[in-house]
Amino acid sequence: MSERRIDLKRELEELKKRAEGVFTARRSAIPPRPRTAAVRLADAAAGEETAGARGVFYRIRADAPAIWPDAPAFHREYLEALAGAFFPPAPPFAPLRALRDVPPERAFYLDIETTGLGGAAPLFLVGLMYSSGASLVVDQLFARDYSEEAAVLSYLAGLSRRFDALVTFNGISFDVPYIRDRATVHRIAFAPPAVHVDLLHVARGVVAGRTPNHRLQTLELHLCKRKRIGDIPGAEIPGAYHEFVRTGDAKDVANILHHNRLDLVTMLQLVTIFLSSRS
Amino acid sequence: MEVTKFLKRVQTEDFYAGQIAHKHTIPARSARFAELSPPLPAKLARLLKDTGVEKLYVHQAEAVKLLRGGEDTVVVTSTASGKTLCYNVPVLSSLLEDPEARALYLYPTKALAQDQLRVLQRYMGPKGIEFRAGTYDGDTPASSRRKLRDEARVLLTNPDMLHSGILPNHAKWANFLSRLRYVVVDEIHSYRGVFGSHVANVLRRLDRIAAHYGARPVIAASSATIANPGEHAEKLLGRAVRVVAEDGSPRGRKQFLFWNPPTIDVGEMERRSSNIEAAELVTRLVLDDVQTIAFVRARVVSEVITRYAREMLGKHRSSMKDSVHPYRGGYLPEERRAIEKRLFDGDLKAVISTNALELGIDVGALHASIIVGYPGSIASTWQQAGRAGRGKDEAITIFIPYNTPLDQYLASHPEYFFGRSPENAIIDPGNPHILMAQLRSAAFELPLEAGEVEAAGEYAPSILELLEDEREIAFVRGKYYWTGKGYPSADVNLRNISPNIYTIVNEKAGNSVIGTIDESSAFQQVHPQAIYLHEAETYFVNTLDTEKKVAFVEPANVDYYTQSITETQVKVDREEKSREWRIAKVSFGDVSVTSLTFMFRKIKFGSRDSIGYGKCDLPPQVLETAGLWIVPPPETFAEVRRHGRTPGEGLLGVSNVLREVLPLFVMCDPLDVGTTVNSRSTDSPAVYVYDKYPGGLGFSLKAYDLVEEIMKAALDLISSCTCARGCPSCVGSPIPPFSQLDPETGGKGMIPDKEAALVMLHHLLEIGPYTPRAVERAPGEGTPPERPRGKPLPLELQGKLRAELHKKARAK
Ligand SMILES: [Zn+2]
Repeated sequence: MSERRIDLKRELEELKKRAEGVFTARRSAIPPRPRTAAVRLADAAAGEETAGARGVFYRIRADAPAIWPDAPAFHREYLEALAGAFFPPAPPFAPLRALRDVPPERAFYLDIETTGLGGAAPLFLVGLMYSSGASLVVDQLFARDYSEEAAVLSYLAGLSRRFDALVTFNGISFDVPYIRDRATVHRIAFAPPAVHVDLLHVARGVVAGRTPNHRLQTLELHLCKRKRIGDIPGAEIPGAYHEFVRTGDAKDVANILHHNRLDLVTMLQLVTIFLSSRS
Repeated sequence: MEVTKFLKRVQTEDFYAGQIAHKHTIPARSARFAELSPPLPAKLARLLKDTGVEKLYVHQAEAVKLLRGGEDTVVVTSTASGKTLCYNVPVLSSLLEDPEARALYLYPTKALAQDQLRVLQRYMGPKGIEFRAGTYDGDTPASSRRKLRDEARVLLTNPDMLHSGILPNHAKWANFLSRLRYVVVDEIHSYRGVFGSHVANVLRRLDRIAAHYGARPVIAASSATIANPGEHAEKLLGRAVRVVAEDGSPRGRKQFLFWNPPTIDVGEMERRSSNIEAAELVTRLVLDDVQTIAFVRARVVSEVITRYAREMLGKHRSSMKDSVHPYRGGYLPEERRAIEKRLFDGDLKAVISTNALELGIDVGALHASIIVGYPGSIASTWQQAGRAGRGKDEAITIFIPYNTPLDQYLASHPEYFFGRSPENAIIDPGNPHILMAQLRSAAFELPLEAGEVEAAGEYAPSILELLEDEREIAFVRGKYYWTGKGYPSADVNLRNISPNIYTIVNEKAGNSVIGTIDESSAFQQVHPQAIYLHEAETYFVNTLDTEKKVAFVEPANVDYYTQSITETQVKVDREEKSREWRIAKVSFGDVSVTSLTFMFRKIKFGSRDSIGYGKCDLPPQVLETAGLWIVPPPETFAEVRRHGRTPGEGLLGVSNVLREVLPLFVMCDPLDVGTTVNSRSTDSPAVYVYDKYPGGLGFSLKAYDLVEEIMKAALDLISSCTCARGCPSCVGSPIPPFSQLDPETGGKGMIPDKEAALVMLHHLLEIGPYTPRAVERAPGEGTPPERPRGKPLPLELQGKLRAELHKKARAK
């Protein structure tokens, strides 16, 4: 190490000390490094490296039973509800009507996980779920580091073109604009299907006032009667992902993927419940 | 205007008593035009003709040619020389030639952006060019933002908005940015010091984001006269630029007068009020139908002079009373727009303004400018003088000094002013503190690539390493990615102003808002019982709510105004390091600078008499920052005393010089650092240098290592100054300590004894021996009795006694 460099180190140490005030709040929020042995990604989530026009990423595909023992049942109820749905003219149900008009295998559910709230922070996970004949498939596109985001988005853009409808929770204000912004940054053309059912909007009309708020997990608790235990809180997800990129330790990745799947399945259940709630 | 006639007549008036101390004539200059090649699109040429532009001045033609040829250009010509046209023409022609072209205009203030939008609107519409343009700033409603993003072809904004609003959301701006042909950076001389260093980085961020979307805009910059326009532009823009400085605009003859208020006592110490002299001149000029702008330093003074002038005008012609108006920061935007418009339309005859109007807001042709009190820099003075005179008409600028040592020095040394070049603009985009803040923002916007980091400054790689340690950045596959939380640009304020803005509401008018004021000024100007002046009317301040940040006032017809008194103290919180420097001790560490507004005085309008006092019960305002302090040994003080000089004055002189010298060594603006003398935290008086930013920005830290060089430069500066006893360029500070006060009511400040500073510096630098000039006495003062001399105190004892005194002071 040259002398100048040592000098620089010293100066920066000082700088760091002086900057401490600015960072104190932020630094205390960073979780400590895990002391347990590192988990490999392949062990945390069985998937495969997938190549697209913009490079490779990690893809985890699973059928419903592998996700959750009850999931096939949820899916059956969902298909039945869709097929049997009678729609009253009330406005809250109108978006669901559009969903019924599309064959189940031509609609996909979507939920993303991101490293921030604004359009300049990369996203790293696109969770998709769709019917494939009688079975339900969860298809998660995962960026193993920030450089794989473009591959994920480009793959999603291709996949999205094959569907007619999209179901999200708050996707009109969050997921879709987020994806669109990130795609713009990577100069990828992303066009969501013409039909977009945002369950947050449906929920506002249907459950109005009967739940403390309209957050997904609140609806899950009150309508699906299920409380998540041990689920990773949404606020911790970006930090956990950064930690994985930094260390390669995938111990939290399984939790994030699981959290994402729970969100997707809950959305599907909400549709079933909304469709039967008119009675 | 017929200046000669006016001057002749003024000298016959009752109030004339030989005020004209100096007259300087700037000769007329005729216009020089040039042909443009290649010619403009026919439509644009016709449009220019319709707006009264037949031919282009040489500087305009040259700038237009360079810019259209894709060369980054800075135009440095006089006020009112048609600088705007230099960039509007290439931009408009690009809009015509390329239906997708976009342009981004950056102005240092919101007001200027709005003003320039009005200029652009002259070219818009069915008869002109069909395009949308709009201002984008903190006041733009959310509903219009999206429309502007999608539809505006020319967007007028400021660096702050670019930094915090546009760049972090660049994906939403991708369409605009990918078609960006021109970036206009107007008034670049105002981007100096810390603010300028931030802006330089913001512009580099803009460059890389534009490049990401495939655009490489040409930059058109403009600057008022400074010593180093080309160098400054290159540092600021991060590109090589062409400088266009050959001014082809015509100029009428200009008279530059120094108007010194006459003395009113036998001892010739007191002078007639400069504010009243200014009002008298404004009155005469308005009665002669000459549109006039008077520049003042403090907001309160703009109100006071307006009040006087209205009173005087009322006596002559009551209908004219309203033709004078104050103009200053703190007025509501719509109020300011209305004043600008009235001035432009000629309905308003005179405006008494703070430097809020110094920047190029177009208020039409004014024929007279009055500068009340030295604005603090040569460059500013010329800017203000330049506000008078447009085209070939004769114009006049009148400088009225205050009865302060600094202003009086200028009054008696006009050659000082006319012989000096304007100041340098200094920026340091690589300052590690600034760079760190900016690299965080840049990494958030797009991952930084290795090559970019190397170009960002020598410290950039190490700063990123540090950010990596803090887990804000991750280096992944050759790029630096942001992994921190939130929006890093929200952590940075480009300007050193408190984000806390107080509103001033009229309780007797349904709590309607009449103005705004920043926090530190609020304490000094709208404390309870203060008289707040607005549009020359008096309002009594009932309450100052520091929680809600509101001052509640009500109209009150009183014949006085108030001036608060603020005490500023610096103290050492923690000494981080110290060393022997020759015979002195120099230390660096955390210091806090505490300002306490503890009382106010009531000043009668007109007579300026103090008619009462009041107490202020306000919390102190504390700036916690970094500073260095130099403690000279007792021997140095003894040496100064041995020559019959006062050590305190010497120290004050050194402290003033340091503020002049330091910026060159640590790369900042003189306003970015503070210097002072204080003995509270040390055993004997010390000179302090501190950064005027919370936490510090490295200026005093750097100065700590350079004390030897800086002190030598200070000595050089004083020794080579040709003044006899001290002047604003050496030991006198050009910046008054409380610039918000009316200079006629506060302490006058002083130009400390130059010789005392010289003795002190020679001794500290161990050069010598130095024999100062004999002590001079003011004429007529006689010989005062000599100071009695006894046995000198042993040095240790001196130190002990001082320590005791300080202990007592602290115990209080
Ligand atoms: Zn001097």
